[in-house]
Amino acid sequence: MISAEFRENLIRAEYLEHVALNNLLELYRDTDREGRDYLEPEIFETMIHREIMKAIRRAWDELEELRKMPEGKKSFRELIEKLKEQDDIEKNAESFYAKQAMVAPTPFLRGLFELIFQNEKLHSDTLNYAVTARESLFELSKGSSCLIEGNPGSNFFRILDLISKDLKRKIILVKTREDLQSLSDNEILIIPSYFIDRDNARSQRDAVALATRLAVEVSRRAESGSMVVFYYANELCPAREDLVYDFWDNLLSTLKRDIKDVYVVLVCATTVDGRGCTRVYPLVDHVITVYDINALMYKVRKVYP
Amino acid sequence: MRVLNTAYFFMPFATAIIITYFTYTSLWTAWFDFLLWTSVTLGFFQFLTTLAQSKGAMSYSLPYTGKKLNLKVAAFVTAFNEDPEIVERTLLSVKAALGNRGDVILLDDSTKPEIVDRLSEFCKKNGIIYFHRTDRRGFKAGAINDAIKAIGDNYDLVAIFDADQRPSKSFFDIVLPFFEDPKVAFVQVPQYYEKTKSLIGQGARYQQEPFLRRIMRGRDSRSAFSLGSGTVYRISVLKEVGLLEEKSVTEDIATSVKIHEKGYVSKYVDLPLVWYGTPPTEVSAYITQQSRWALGGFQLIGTLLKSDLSFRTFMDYISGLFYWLEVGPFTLVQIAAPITFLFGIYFLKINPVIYVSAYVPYFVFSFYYFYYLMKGTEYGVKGFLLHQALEYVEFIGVTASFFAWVLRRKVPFKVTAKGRSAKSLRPLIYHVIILALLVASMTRGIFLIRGATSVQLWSIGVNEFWAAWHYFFLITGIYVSFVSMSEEEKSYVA
Repeated sequence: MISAEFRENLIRAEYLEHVALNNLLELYRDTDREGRDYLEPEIFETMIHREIMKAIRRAWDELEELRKMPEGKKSFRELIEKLKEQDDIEKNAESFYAKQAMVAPTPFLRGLFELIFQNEKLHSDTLNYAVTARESLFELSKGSSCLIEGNPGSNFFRILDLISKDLKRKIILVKTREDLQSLSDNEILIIPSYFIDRDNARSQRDAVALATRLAVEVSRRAESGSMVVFYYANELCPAREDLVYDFWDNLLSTLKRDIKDVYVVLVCATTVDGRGCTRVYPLVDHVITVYDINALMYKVRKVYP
Repeated sequence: MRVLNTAYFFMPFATAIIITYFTYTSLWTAWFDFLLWTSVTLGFFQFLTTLAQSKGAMSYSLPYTGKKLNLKVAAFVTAFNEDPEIVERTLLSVKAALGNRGDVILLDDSTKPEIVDRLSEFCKKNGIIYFHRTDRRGFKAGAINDAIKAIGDNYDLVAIFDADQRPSKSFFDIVLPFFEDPKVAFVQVPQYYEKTKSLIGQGARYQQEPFLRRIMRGRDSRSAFSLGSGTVYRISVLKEVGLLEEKSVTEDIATSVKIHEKGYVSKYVDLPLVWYGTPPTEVSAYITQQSRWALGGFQLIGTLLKSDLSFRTFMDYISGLFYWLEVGPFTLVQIAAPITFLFGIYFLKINPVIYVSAYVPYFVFSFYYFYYLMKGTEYGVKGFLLHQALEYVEFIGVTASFFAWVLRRKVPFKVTAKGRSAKSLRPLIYHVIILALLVASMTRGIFLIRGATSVQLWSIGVNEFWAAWHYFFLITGIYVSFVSMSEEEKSYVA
């Protein structure tokens, strides 16, 4: 779903491009041949900018409209098979864009075609991997905890939605920030006072106390058999790397002790240098690594022996 | 409960009467004997309350989690002829903290047209609702009440900020989840005074430490009262108690009493979420502020005695009143005692050795306990010295407030000075006179040593000690006031 702020930014960008274009056209009208030669590529690209902004907004709106359509009966697997039948069309498009990325007349257009080519390639890869990825999620039912990690801003909610349906559990979402998307009626918000104590955690004892108290508070609000999701888990643990294990160890064990038949999910956004929550690996049963921002390509690994 | 509360209120006085009965020398001076013992018993009952509060204070912690609540907030910023630049900065901070949870509303009672024009224009440009009154009925409380009536039922909560107190970005993120509990009527966040070079400003800051770090923490989730700014009220509760109390100069405490009386609780969130409140940086502004707070405290007596507060809540509130009595009129009594004695008026009959044996352990223990309580805060020795010295600076103003309350005299309402006020050392004239009397009495006491019996030596020693004690803090207070007058000692933001 497009946020109101992003929509506003798109409209603003479209307007800015429109104003820029009008100014350029004004100048184009008055200038001589040499000036026009100079202005033409700029006008052409500004027109494309404006149209792209418009197109993003329209595409989003159309998608919103599409979502209102009632659901059909075709399963995810059937859908993938159908799509594979059309894969040739995608392949053709892919090779077309790859060629245009080489031969298009301007660097801007070549870059644009290159981007679309990469995107088509991703569609193709996702399609080939989709069923395997989806089936790998069923593995999770054999454990009682997992870690989902991927780039910041990835659509982790998609995977959470799939897991909760597979495991048939009610989600209790523990959010570190109020502005994060909602997924469940039962949401617990981490109050910033927590982060003050987290930043003051210097020793193992502090980390254990912090984790235990947080777990006790979460347990108080959770039902048995529910799926407790920590979103984003990496923002919860103390900054010192050597305290991370103790923190999660205590948090998970306290939760499992206090909530009957609980399933714990830690959602972890990897840092810029690619570091994630590797220290938590020994504490969870599975790790789901998300490879794309839309969370369509992901891999489940069993990490607990 | 009212009977128990009333009995507790009179207990220090009753205890003092009993001790007076055994220690008075003549009926002519018995009243003074009684007042002196009352000053001791008031301190003792305050100490009892501190003991009761200390468990909560020492184990104070804030929850880590809350429920996301879709409560709509009306954030009021109150102003009266304040520097528009300060008000604008506050408005922007409140707006940033509030986000899309509600609206920022400026309640401007300013009388200067240039300020009114500038602020109304600023509000228009920045999407802030501007309320202006031409009459100042009920002062700040009146402005807030009028605004609450005007906004109707569109909001769930109302947040109140003084013009110079800017909330941090996470103010509402932290405060709002506490309203999940329907018993919570309001949440109070303490004001953190900015650091100043002025010793008066520093003292005012230190003076807040025991109150904000210990007393208010001890009253958390029971009787923590509103401090007038940085408070978020549940509007339905405010309406239930007839909105803010307009008759008291400290409308915040009076309103808190009404709310607690109804069985609601208040949450105290001791985090630095409100910044840059300016403390009074020179003596006249400081005394004005303290006298106003004290008057508010005295005005509460009737309300408290008539109230139906639970015993613990009443104990907390009445301890605040005992504090003002102790700092004001009873400091005068305590200072007068050694002066009177050393000038030969023997109003008290007690074996000084028994007095020393009984009082010294209590004195030492209460000191030690205070030290234990304040461990881990910024207070320290400097804080203690400045705190005590300022209490000696303010005592005449507080005493004046007490008599103004007794005589039902109208005291003109004064806004706490925000770092700019007419500088004057005039309020210290009485202090200098008292200082001279103390010096004279101490000198006379030294002359009395010659030829005194051993028991007389003990009593002279006790009185010399107290005279020296008062002298030390009074002269420190005068020094602090004096050096805070220099131009270089202006307030600055650390």
